[in-house]
Amino acid sequence: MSGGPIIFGGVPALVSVGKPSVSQIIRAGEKTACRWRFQLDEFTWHSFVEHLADDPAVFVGLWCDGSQIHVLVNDGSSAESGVRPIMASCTLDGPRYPGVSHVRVAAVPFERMIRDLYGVEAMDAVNARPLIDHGMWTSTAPLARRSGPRSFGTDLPEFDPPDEWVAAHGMVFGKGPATGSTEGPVHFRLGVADGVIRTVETRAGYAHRGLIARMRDATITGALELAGRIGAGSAVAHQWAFSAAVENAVGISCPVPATWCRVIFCETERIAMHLLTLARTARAADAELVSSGLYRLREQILRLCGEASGRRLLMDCVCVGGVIVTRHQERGDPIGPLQTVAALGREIVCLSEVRIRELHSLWRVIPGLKHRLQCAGRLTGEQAKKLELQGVAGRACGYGGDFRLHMDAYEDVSFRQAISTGGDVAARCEIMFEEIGESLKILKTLADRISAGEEKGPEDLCAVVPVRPEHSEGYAVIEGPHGPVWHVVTVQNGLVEQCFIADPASTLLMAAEQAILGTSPDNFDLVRCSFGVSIAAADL
Amino acid sequence: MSTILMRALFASLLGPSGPALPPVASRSPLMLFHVDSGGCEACGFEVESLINGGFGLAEAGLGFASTPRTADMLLVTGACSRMMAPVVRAAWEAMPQPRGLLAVGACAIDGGPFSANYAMLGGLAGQSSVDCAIPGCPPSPRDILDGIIALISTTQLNPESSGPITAEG
Repeated sequence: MSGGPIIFGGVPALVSVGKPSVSQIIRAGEKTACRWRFQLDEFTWHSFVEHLADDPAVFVGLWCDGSQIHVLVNDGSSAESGVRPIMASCTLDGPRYPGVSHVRVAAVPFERMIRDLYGVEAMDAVNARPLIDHGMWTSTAPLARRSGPRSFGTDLPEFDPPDEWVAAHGMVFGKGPATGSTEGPVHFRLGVADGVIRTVETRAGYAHRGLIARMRDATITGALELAGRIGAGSAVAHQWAFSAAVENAVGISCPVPATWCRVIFCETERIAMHLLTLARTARAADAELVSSGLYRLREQILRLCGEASGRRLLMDCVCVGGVIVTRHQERGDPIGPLQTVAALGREIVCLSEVRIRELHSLWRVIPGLKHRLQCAGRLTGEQAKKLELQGVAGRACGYGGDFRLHMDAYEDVSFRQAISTGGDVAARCEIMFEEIGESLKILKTLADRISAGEEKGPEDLCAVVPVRPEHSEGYAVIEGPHGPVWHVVTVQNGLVEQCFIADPASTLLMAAEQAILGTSPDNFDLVRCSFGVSIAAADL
Repeated sequence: MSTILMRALFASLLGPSGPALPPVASRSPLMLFHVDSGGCEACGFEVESLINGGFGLAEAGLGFASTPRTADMLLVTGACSRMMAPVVRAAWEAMPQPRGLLAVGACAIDGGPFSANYAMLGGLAGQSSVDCAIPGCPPSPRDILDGIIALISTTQLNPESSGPITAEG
C-alpha cells in the first residue's frame, strides 16, 4: 500500500507555509515549570523580535528581574480574542539586550524604566532617554545586583532638541509638576508655534515610589496593600489582578459570591473614575455646570462606598482568596457582608440611573461643548493600533476590546461593549457615558442575584491561601477603568518573589502626547484630561 | 434644551451642600496651595472631592490657589519623592509669610506604605515642622476639612517655620 497522505473529502490537508507565528517561536523555546513561560536563547529571542513586527500578538509588557528579561504577549489579534498570554524569558548577557521598541512602540516606557532601574539598555531602542531617574536618586540602577553610585549629573530635564520651526517662530513653555491641581506630578514641555502645539514632551518620575522593589520579597498581604496604591483610580482593579495572579499561582479559586462582590467593587470604581475623568474634562472645557453635577454625583457614590465598606475609594476591599467586608460588623448591622455589598450596588443604581441620564443630556446641550470636544485631541485608528491602545481610549478609536467579555466573573452578566471610531475627546467621553450605563446594569443584575440568594459569612467570602514551599507563577488581567491591568506574580513560601505590573497609564501618556499635537494650547488640559492618565500608575 | 439647562442650574444652586460651617477667616479666605509630592493619588482625589463635592469650602472661609505666591498654607499629599522635594521647597519659599504647612494623609506624614528608599524621602516628618497633620490612607474630605478648621481655629500660622524638606533628605 502507498504511504501517501489520507485526504478527506478530496481536500488536501492544510500545510502551514510562510513565517512561523510569535507564539510558535516562543513555544519552541525551553519549557519552564510554568506552562505559559518559555526560556529563549539569544538567537531565538532575536528571531522572536523580528517576527513580532508583523504578528497579530498584542504586546503586554517587558520586565527585568536583574538576571533575565521577560516579555509577555497576548496571543491573539486583539483583546477580542480573550486572555491567552505567553511569556518569553531571555538570560541577560552583559549590559545590553535585544530591544523590542523598534517593532512595538508600546515597549518604549518599559525599556526606559528597565534602563533606569537595572542599568541594562535595549539595543535598537527608539527612545533611550531616562524615564524616571533624573539624577535625584541615592544610586543609579538601584535594582541591579550591583547598583551604581549616586549620579551627580545635571538636574536639568533631558529633552530632545527643540523643533526648528518652534525655535524660530514660536516658544517653548513648561507646565507642572506642581500646578495646584490634583492630577499628579508630571512636567510637560510644550512647543507652541502658529497658535498650535507642535511638540509635547513629558518628564516623568516625580511619583516613582519604587513599587517593584517594595513588592519584592514582601508578604502577600504587604504586596496586596502596595498593589492597591499603584494608582488610586484603579485600586480595585490592581488588587483584584494581584489577588487573581496569586490565586492562579497557588492553585486556589475565589468563591463565586466573592467574585460577584469583586465585580460590584470594580464596576463601582469604573463609574467613579469615569465620572471624575468626565468632570475634569468638562471643567477644562469651561462647562462648569455639567462638571459640578458630575463631581457631586461622584461624591455621593463615594459616600455610599464609605458607609458600606469603610473605604470611600474601595481600597483594601479585595484580598487574595476573596473580599473583605467588615463594616457591617463595626456598625452592628443585622445584615451580613454579602447583602451589604448587594445593598451598595442597589443604592448606587438608584442614585445614579436617572442622574447620569440627565447629566448626559446636559452634556449634549451645553452650548458649544460638543463642537469644542469634536475638534480636539483626535487619535486615528492607525495611531491607536500602532500604540496597541486598549481601554476607553482604544475603543474610542475602534481598536481594542474589553477583557470583561472573556472573564469568568462576568460570564452570566450581559452588557454591551461601547465602541466608536471618532477618536477625539467627544468619542472618548461618549464611551465613558455608555460604560457608566452598562456598569450600572451590571451592578443591578448582581445586586438582584445576591439578594435572591442566601447570606454568607465572612469565611465564605474568602478562600484560605495555602503557603506552598515551591516556586510558582501566576498571571491575571482585569479590565480597569482606563484599560487592562496585568499582574504577573511569582510566589514562594508565602512571599512574593517578584511582581511584574502592566498598567495602561504609560501607553495612555504616549497616546495623549500624540493627540495633543496640533491642538490649541487652550485645549491642552481638555485633551489630557480626556485620557484619564494616572501619573502614579505610570511612574510606579 | 432650555428645560434641561434650567433644571441643571437649579440643581446646582439648590443641591445639597455640605453641613454649614461657621466662617473662620475674618476678611479674606484662607488660601491653600496643593502639591502632590508623589503618592498613589488617593489623597489628591479626596482633596479634589473637598474642593468640588459640595463641602462648603467658601462658607468655611477656605479657597485653593493656583499659585503658591497667593497661598497661605501649603497642603502636601504624597510621601515626598526625592524628585519632588525641590519642587515642594520652591513652592514653600514662594509663599508669602505667615505661612503654614499641612500634611494630608499617612504618606505625607511619615511615608505610610512608602517609607524612605532610593527614590522617596518617606514623608515630611523628620524633614520639617508640620503645622497640621491629617492621618488616614486616604483621609476623607470631611477629615481634611475638620483638620484645617481645627488648625486655623486654634493656632496662628508660623512665620518662622523652617519649611519642608532638607536639601539632602
